[in-house]
Amino acid sequence: MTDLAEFAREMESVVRSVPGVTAVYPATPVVVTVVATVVATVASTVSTAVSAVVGAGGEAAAELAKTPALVSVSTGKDGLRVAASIGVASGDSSTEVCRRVHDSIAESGGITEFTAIDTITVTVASID
Amino acid sequence: MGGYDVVACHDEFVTPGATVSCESRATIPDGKSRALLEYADDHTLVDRAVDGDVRAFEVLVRRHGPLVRAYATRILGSSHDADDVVQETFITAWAKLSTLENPAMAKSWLMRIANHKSIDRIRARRNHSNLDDVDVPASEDHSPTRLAEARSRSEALSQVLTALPEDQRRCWELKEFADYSYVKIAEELDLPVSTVRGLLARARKTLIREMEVWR
Amino acid sequence: MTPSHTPDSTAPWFAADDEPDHLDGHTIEELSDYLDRGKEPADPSVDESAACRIALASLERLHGAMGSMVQEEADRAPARDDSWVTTILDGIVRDSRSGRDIPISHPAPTARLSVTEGAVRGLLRAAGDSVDNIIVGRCRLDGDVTTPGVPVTVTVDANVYRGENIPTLADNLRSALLDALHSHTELTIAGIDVTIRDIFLIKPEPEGGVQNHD
Repeated sequence: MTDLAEFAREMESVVRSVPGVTAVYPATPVVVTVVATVVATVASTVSTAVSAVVGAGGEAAAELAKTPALVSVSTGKDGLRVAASIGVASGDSSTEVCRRVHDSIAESGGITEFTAIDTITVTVASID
Repeated sequence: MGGYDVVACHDEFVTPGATVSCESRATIPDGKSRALLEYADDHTLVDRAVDGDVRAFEVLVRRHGPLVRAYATRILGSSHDADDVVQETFITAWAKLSTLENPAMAKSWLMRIANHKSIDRIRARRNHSNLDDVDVPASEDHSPTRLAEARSRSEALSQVLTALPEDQRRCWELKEFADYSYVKIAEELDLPVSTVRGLLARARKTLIREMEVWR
Repeated sequence: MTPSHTPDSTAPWFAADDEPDHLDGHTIEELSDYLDRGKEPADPSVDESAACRIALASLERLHGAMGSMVQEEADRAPARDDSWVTTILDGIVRDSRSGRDIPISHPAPTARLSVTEGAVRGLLRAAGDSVDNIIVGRCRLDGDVTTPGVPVTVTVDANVYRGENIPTLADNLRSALLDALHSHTELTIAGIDVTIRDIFLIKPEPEGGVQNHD
């Protein structure tokens, strides 16, 4: 299952390398976005998030907690679910950059190792 | 959008060790726009901050932060914890900004939040120890020579306030800056209401006397 | 200037121990409470007493002086390093402003592409600010932005400098916003309503004299 975590990081660098992308923000499954702001819970929340991404706890999660992948990868009903949240340069076009990011993810080498794609979600969260 | 309601930068996840790249959001893409914001009125800044403009909010923080801190210092009786109050005030303000009915009244609204946050601090402090950790004023400061050195009425009043007996000063500050009622001051300071009234009466008299000298 | 500290009948109330004698039967505490109540309900025995009115004025002056004192303390406070601002900006939850997801089309059935309403509002602010002599205020997208093709009306508040030609500025603003929306979204824009909210921005002077406008 650590493959997914590794894949998530690979996807992050794919997203980053797309022209027009100025930032990559954490794209976490909605279940872990509802968190308290209490500092004490942050550490455990992060590992929960990572566990959710990786699908299993253990050492991989602990290791990932230090450098969580910003692109979220999980398994959905029909296959792989990839989600990325990005910033786009105002001089570019959000619609174009967003599609380019999607296509880069869809066409990346690593993704062919997985049988099917459920969804690829790309959200432009800032334009600057 | 299956299972994807909340997007964008999850700042609350960021642990000190984790380098989540939200920094580009805080950068200033347009120096001109930033400079212009400094001249914008509170109403505009509040409207923009409600819409999510962190830079507009930053201008509000810089514009009103020092006054929030000064009020917190007065209400708390010392500058200890005042910085925490400033932070809590603005973090709450960001969260509740859209509830501000008249954006032009941002300043007094911020002071009310600071007031609540300061009072929370006083309560917490009281629950944790029965010792006051406020600065003990040196009564001998209240000498005519010292007052004569004051360059302004405000400075003089500040000195008079500092020179008041501790219980008078605390009563006065809670009444004046935290807008406490007699009963609440009494509860806060563990004093009978009648005592609070007496202390306030004496403080009021001293302050007015000194203020009238400066007219 | 120094008031006499010897009580006598001509001394002001604050120099005397027998307030009621100086304040037509009232105490300064009563007057202070009266002030705290916003002088409601009106008390003619106070309102019609010259001595009380003088004392009330003193109390109001004191309240004002306390406010100025704190303001001056704030103004005099030594400049601190910027970490307090950074801490605040790091502490705020920015997600709360992302708003709705505005879809971006893609032929792939598995694609879920969107731009957030918050990002678009940020775009509108930046585009509006880039028009000379304008600072944008509130931005609204009215209409169902989550369904492609539904007409959306954009409402923008703008502040302009004194003496500028408002209709021209509004036109410039509209076209800047429209350009930005077209290159970053697929929204069907029914119209852009520009409200010039205020005309009191003071143009910064090129040399010196930088002053905060409140």
